[in-house]
Amino acid sequence: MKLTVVKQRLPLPAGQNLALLMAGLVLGLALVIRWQEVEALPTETPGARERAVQAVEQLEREQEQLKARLAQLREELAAAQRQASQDTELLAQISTELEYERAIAGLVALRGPGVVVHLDDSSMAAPASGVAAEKHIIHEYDLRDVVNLLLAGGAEAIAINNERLVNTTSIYCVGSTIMVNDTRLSPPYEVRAIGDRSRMQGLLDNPATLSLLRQRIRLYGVQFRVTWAGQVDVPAFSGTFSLRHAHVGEVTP
Amino acid sequence: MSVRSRLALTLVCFLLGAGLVAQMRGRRAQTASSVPSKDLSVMLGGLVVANAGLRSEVQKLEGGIRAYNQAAERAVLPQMVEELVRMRIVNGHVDVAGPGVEVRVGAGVSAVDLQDMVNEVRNVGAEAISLNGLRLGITSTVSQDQHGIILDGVRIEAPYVFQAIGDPATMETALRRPGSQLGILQVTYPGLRVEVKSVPLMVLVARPQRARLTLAQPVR
Repeated sequence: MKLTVVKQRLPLPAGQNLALLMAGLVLGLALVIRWQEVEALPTETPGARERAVQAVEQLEREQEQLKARLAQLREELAAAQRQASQDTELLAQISTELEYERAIAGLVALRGPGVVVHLDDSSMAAPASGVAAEKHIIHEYDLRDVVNLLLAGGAEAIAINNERLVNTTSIYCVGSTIMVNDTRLSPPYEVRAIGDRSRMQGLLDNPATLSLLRQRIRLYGVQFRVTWAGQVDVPAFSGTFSLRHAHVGEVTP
Repeated sequence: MSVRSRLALTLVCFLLGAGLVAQMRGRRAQTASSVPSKDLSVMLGGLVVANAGLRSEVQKLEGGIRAYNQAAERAVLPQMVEELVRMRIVNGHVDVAGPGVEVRVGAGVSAVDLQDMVNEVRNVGAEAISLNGLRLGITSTVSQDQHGIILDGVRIEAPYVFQAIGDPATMETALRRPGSQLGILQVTYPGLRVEVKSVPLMVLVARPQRARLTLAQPVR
């Protein structure tokens, strides 16, 4: 029973077992030498004693070195532990900052109260081409004007047909298609914005805003519909930010 | 613990006890050479055991220090800091320097024209933009009242100076292209003064305030 308790309390590593075994051997030897010494004290061989003295001195030197190394390592470990806890703190700080910056930059999908503005070409029969045909369709500048109006109304995040608008987004026209984030979009266009309803609605309902678009809505049947929602989802930007020329010196968390 | 180890331990304890008694009996020694021969062997045994223990402790500590130095935090920190810097540049939350173009537009244009110019400068590949010294952010807007142009709540006056960091040659060529926004402005406002020039190095200061999300929540 006692031995079982010892077994649980003193789990020794293999190296230490070996050390104990060695110690046992050495001490066993020592005991034998002692018995011999007792029996034959005057006939001690001077060579054996010299070797034993040398071994002891060598082991003592080794012990001194090991103790010095141990003290040094204990200091190093304490320093490493201090550094690690500082790193962990810094990591948490940077992680929080990064999350915030990524959300602002548009790399995080966002949800909140807001508006969905539907825009589509006219359903009225339109000429195949010419200035009259132009009046029947939604242009890239219509989207820009709607976006700018929503931003002026305090929109926090905007997407057009699931293309999240970011600080490098341009809305432009190539031929008959509208490009947003270098992605080709076609009608109908759905501009989703998260923001304060009262501010955005004040601008969207104001007849002085979007005057050219309102005229085409009235005269040519261009489609424009505003839907308010308690929950609007704006997807994350799926493109990349190319930063090859802009540089910054340092950053503080 | 094996039977052998237990026996070894018992033996060691016994011998150490015996050694102690021997030492007590012997004279207190300063150096090994003055120790009686019978005690030398006891000392040897004790030193072997003690040094083995010290060596194993040294190894344990070395392993611990290695583990801390290889910790995951160490590896990801530089990457995260780099990404944070990139995001702050994108968001206009930090001063940036680099080559680019400067575009000057004279008086008389509307807020919509300037907003379209912002779109144009973004379109030609600007990495960071300032208008009259104010850094543009994702929610920047140009508006107008009876007194003039307002950018992000700050009144600005002509000439309207866009500073855009990016590849100067590409941006200058694209901005001067026929049918570009500047061309449209010159047709719309005859006599309007418009200038485009490459700049080898400029500094755009950070936005005065950082953007905030109050209603929008991250979707998890």
